[in-house]
This record gives sequence, C-alpha cells and structure tokens, in this order.
Amino acid sequence: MATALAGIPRTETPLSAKEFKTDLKPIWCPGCGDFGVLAALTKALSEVQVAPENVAVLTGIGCAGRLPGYVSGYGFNALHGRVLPLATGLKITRPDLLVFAAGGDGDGLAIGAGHFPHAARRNPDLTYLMFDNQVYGLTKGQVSPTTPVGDVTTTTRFGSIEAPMNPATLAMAYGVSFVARAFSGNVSHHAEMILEAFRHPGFAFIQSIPPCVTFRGNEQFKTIRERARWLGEDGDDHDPSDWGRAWEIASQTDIYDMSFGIIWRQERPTYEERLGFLREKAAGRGPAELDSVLDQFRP
Amino acid sequence: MPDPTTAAPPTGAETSRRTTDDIVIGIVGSGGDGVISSGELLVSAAAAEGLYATILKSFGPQIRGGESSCRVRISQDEALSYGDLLDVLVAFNWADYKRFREELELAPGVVVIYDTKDGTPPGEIPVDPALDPVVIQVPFHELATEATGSSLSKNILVLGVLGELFDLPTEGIAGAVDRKFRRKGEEVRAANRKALDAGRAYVLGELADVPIPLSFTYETGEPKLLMTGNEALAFGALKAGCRLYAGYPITPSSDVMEWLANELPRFGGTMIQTEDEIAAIGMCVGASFGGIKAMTSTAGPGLSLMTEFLGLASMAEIPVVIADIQRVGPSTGIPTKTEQCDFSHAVHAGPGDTPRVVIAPYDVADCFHIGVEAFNIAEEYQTPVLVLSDQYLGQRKESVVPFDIHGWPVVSRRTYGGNGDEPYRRYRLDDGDVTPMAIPGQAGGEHTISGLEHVETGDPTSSGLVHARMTERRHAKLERLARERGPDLVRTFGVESPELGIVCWGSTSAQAREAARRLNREGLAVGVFVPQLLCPLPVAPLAAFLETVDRAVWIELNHQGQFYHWARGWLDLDAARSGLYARSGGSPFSVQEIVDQVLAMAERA
Repeated sequence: MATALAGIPRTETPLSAKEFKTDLKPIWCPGCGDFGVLAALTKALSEVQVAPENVAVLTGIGCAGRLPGYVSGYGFNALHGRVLPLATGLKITRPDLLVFAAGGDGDGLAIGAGHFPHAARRNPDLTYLMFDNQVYGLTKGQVSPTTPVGDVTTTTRFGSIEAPMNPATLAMAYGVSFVARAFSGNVSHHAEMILEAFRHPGFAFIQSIPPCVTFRGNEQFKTIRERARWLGEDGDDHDPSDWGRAWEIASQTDIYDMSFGIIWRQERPTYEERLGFLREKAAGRGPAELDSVLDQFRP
Repeated sequence: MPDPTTAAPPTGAETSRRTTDDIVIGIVGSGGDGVISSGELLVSAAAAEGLYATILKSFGPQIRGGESSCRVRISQDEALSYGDLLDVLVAFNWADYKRFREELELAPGVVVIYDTKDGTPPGEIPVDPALDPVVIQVPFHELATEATGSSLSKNILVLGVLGELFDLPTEGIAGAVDRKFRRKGEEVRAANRKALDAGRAYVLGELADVPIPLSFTYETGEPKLLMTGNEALAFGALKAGCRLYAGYPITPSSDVMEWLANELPRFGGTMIQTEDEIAAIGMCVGASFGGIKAMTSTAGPGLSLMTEFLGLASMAEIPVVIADIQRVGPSTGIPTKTEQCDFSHAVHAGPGDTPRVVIAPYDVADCFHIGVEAFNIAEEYQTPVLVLSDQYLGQRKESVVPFDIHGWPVVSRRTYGGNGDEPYRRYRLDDGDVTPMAIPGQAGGEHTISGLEHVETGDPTSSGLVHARMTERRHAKLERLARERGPDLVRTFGVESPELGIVCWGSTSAQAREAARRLNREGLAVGVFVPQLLCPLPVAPLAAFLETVDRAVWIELNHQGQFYHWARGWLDLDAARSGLYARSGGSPFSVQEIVDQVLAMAERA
C-alpha cells in the first residue's frame, strides 16, 4: 500500500501559510467563504512541507476557479467542469507533484458530473475540493445542483423545483476512498481536513461549505458556526471506516444540521500503484526499444 | 455436384494468358468465412517476398459475424492505391457479395471463383456477362472438410487455389500460413498446411484444363514491413516521445489506442481509456502542462467534444496532439466508411481567434513521419496540432519499405532555464512568439495559466488592448511556422515541369499519384501537389506550383470542397485555370475517376 505523499519531494524550509499566498488580490466579494478555504489550503500546504514548485493547483470555472492565482506554486484555471480529467492526467504522469483540484458545486455536479465517478474508480493520489455554496456565484446567483428545493434564485423566482444532489453520498456511492466535510468558517479544522486529504493515498474528496454572502445571505456563517457538529470531538467517536455511520453522516443535506470531519476513509491501491504493476507485466513484451517495436511489423 | 470445369464453360477460354506484375484480388464472405485472414495472409506473403501489397477491409454494420470483404493488391512496383478494378473475385456466397458490390468493381475478363456450396448456377451469378468473366466453381467447403475435418480452414484452402491459379508466390503463402499458426501448436499448423496443399492439388488436378487468362510474374526482393496507417501514426507518436495517450473508443480510430495500450507501458508511458472525449483531451492537456508529451485520437464525433479543450490548449499554449481518423459525417454518419469531411472543423473549430496547426499524412509510411512531426510542431510552437487521417488511410494495411526509425529528429519544447531574480513570465511580449515553458517542479518558474485572456505572467486581464497584443502574438507563431516549415511540409509528385496539376491532400494523394503516373505514361505532363501542412497553409509553395501549371484540378473526398475553399481564402485562384472535383460517398476515389477529371480539365476550352 502506498504511503501518504510518497514520491513528492519535501522541503526542510517550507513556506509559511502567508508565503503560500501570492500578491494577487482575490476577485471574491468581501466576506466570501472562499477566503477561508484559501487560508485553510495555504495553512495545509505549509504544514505538509512541500516546496511550492511541486504544488499544482488546478480548477474549473466559477468563483472557486480563481483559486490557483492566489496560491504560490503552479496553477491552471482550466475549463468549466473539467478539472478532474486535467488533474488526473497531470498526477498519473507526474506522481512527484502534489495535485490539488477544486471547483464549485455547479462545476463538479452539473457540467462536470460525468468525471467524478471515473476519478473515484481510478483513485489517483490527488485531492478534490468542492466549494459547495449551493449557488452559481460568478454568473451572479442562478440555481445550482445543490440548491435546496423552494429556494429563490435569479433563475428560480418562484422557488427551485428540482431536488438537490448530495456531494458526500454521491462520493461514497462512487467509491471515493476518502470523503470529508469542511466549513470555511473554521479555518484550522478545514486546514486539518485538507492535510488529511493530502495524507490519504488515493482520491480524496472534500465537500467544503464556504457560504456565499452575496447570493445566499449573511446569516449562513453565523448559523452554521452555532450549529455545526465536529466529528471526533465533543464525545463523538465516529470511525471513518464504519460505512453505515459514514453513510448516515454523508446523508445530511441541511447545512444548518451537519457534521464536519472525516466521514469515510478506505485504503485501496491508487491508479499510480496499479499502473506500476501493469508496466511490470508489460515489460515482458520486450525491452523499451523502438527496434523491438519495429519487429512486429516484419511479415 | 456439378463438375465445375464443365458446369461453367469459361467464356474467356479463347484469350491467351496475360502476364501481369500487378494484381487485384477481392474476397468476400460472411463473418465466419475468414475472409480478412485470407487477405492478410496474402499481403504478408507478398511483403515477405519483397513485393508491394495493400489490403483494404470492409465490414457490414454487424458487431460480429456479419459480412466482410477485403481487396488485396500485390505488385512489383509501388502500389499507391487499392487498385480500381478486381482482376480476381472470390465469393464464398453471393448474398454477401451483393452487399459490397459497389465497392468491388470488376475488371473486364475478371476471374470469378465461388464456393460450389452457394448453389447459384454460373449463369445466374450477379456478375455482368458483358465483362466476359471466367467463372470457376470450387467446392471450398467440402475440400476443406475433407482435408482437415473442418470447413473452417476453407479460407486457407482458398490461398492454395489462388496461389496455384495465378502463380502467386506459393512458398511465401506457405510461409505466411506457418507464421500465423506457429503459436497455435503443431497440430493446427499442420492442418492448415494440409488445407493449403489441398487447394493447390485441386487446381493441379481438377482445374488443370481450365484456361486461366492471368499469370502473376515477379522478382523477389528485400522484405517489406507491413503496417496500417493507424499503427504507423501510433508508432510515430511513440518515437516522438509520447508518454500519455488518453482516448475514448471510436471507429475508425480505436486501433491507435489499442496499439499504444500494448506499447506505451514498457516505455514507462500510460494509455488511459477515459469516460469521454472531453476527458481524453483533458488528461492530455493536464499531462502536457506537466511537461509530458501527450496525444489523443478520435473521429469526427469525438472531435466535436474535444473542441472546448482545443481552445484552451490554444489559449494557454499547451502542446497537444489530436489525431482525427475521419469517417463519413455529419454526426454519426457512416462509422466504417471514409471521407475527408472534417477539414473545416479541424481548421475552424472553437470560438474566438483560435490558432492551431492541422497536418495530414499522405500514405501509410507518412503516417509515421507525421506522427513524429505533429509532436515536433506542437512542442516547438506550443500549440495544439491536429492530424487528419481517415478510415481509408488509417485502417488499410500496406507494405512499407523498411525505414530507419532513428533517423528522425525529435523536438522537445524549450523549458525555463532560470531568470535570475526576475519573476517568470509565461507569455512574454518582448521575446518572440513562444516563451520557454516552466514545468511544475522547476523552482522559480511558478505561475498560473488559464483560458482567460492574460498578461505576460499568465494572470487574468480584461484589457482589450492586452488581448489584441496577445492575439497577435499567438497568431505570429502560425505565420512563422508556415514560413519556416511550409516548404518542407509539402510534396510534389509526377513530372518535373507539369502542365496539368492535381492539388489534393491526405489519403486522396495515393490515387492522385497513380493517376498522374498513368497519365504521364500516356504523354501528359501531370504533377501532383500534396501539402502535408494544411493550417497554416503553405501559401508560397502552393502558389509556386500553381504558377508552373497551365491548369489544376483540386480533388478531395467531401461534398463541399472544404480544403479548396480554405485555400481560396489565402490566395486568388484563376477560375479559368482551376477546377474542383469534390464528392462524398464514403468510398475512396478510384484512379480512373481522377484520370477522367484531369482529362476533362485538359480538354476544357
């Protein structure tokens, strides 16, 4: 079994969380929950002790899509919904990089929903964080795949009539090997979730709740903070290998009645490990020489 | 059972035996008849003897067990096309032949051999009597069962018959059969050898008195290689250093993926079959961002899905190779048939002023060359490169003169070499049109890129002025490519000072070159201009060619004349001196079709 962060060069002189932030000023609205995720990410990067040149932050499109520009390291703000193929392609060919992929709930569950189960079954050793704010923010307030039924948005003036999707249960059903839930209003806990995701050998998914103060109101931060339950704290003894309880926790959809923490964790071979075995098998075909390849074309 | 020699009095009995060093044989049957294996063994035998050979396969729409046909051309000199008309037709049954009739046109005096088991009387077979065919019935089914205990070997038996009837390289055929069955054990090998011998014996015995109008003559030479265009393209990619192939199955491109699935892993590479074409090109762009040479391949419907990432790769200046093995479109079209119908999509796909490179190989061997060149261009100019092949080129197996795989230059992108204290700028406006790329892992080169318009560092901007500068910069590299590489990436064939010109691209070049040869032999000065680089168009070499000829006919396998109209956007054509012959129809041009067009052009007042 792979050890966490295997193959990624570590540095003895890591950047501080602050140094992991670039000078670029975020375009996010004042008070946006995304700032908390950025703070948590830079904190986790600093703690994991990788040099910025070995970090790749990849995103889709949306408010979350702008994240790479704000983090020291290599970044790619790519296409709407396509971050997982991009990240998988990079990670399986460059296992020496710490690959962090992110996007919004619309990015990952609407336009890009087809890629999520396939990343899960391949289990590449990368982290995927979904900024689940239950709304399309960058395009200014349309209904999203996680918006609760009845909510009024710019495209649902009479209330949404479509059932919301649940990122956490979907992730579990898809076979994601690490599922956690984080709240951007608790940066140190959120950073810990990202750090655990980094340490998990395989595809790690974090459902992050970063409230959208512009389109979902000012109350979310306060109310979630008041009502949040923290797994493994205050007498909670959730074991992330307990599928039944994990499913129960994952099934929570009301952001005001939610548990945050590591929901589900399972160790299984990563894509990169299996690729290694496959290459060993394929070596039996002959040496890695073009002349030996040419031989198959001789009649 | 009627005696085949008397039941079908060969109508061509009076003609004396003609010798040829160029023969075209069609074989048709149902799925289980082993038609394709027969054809492949013939080309394998020919290539081993140093002859040129090509096989074009055709299948019905069934997944398995449907009708299939192949046409094999064997010749002493370079076989450029599949050969227009069949000299020999083998039919295991006539029902299957009828389905391929329009693809398997017969030559006058054709020798028709069919299985007695079919039961159709010789006078009622669906062959035009005006062709004066020589019709022979052979009890393939029965003979194979007698010889080996199973009728399955009838496709081997047929090779014995063909070899002996037409003086094909019988030892070569025996060798090819041995090689094919060697791994299946001595028993299988011996049984197939028996089938082969039974076929030969039948000709020497039962058919000894049947006058055969055709005899193949040849000289043996250095063995040739045998490969399909798709294999050659994939091999070229491997040679170029491709280490990630991501793709989604689609006819007629899947064999590129299947070949690389076998070959990439031992080179430390990866073939990954993705959930769709969007993910396929997405993984390639991701890998290439990480400095890894990556490729995908698809057909028209898949290219539609890739358009989004094509635009991103163009905007973010990420090298990536996308092969389109064209098939009949629009939409799902006819997956198993060929057309050059994706040209317009390849050069125009995507919103915005989106630079990309489009190149096309013109024969099987050139697929290898273009496979290498596609990566070289992508890497050097930091751009997506589309390779336009097609079903006819990609799936036909052809003899290739052995070439030196080490003789091809391989280019890799220039990478960041450190800037001292100056921060890295990914898209410099003061240093040419391509900036050396910083690759993740390189300290000091950290930067963020995106599909958003950007300033030099890669950071987003909404400045129209910067956008205009960056657009010019992105297009400048195409102009430079046309200038620097255009002259190398065109081919001219035919006489040195042609009076009549043919302009074509991709797979159509094969028949055009053969048409030119035929016309040159008849005293017409015909030249063929084949650009491998299609976008940017190598305008100067094309204009120079058009200047040398009195008239030119443009030929391409699509309804609209897509390439012709593209070229007209780049240079003025004299209407009186140029003509367009463009058609759809799913079948490659015949040589005669092109000959007719050139002659019509020549005669035009």
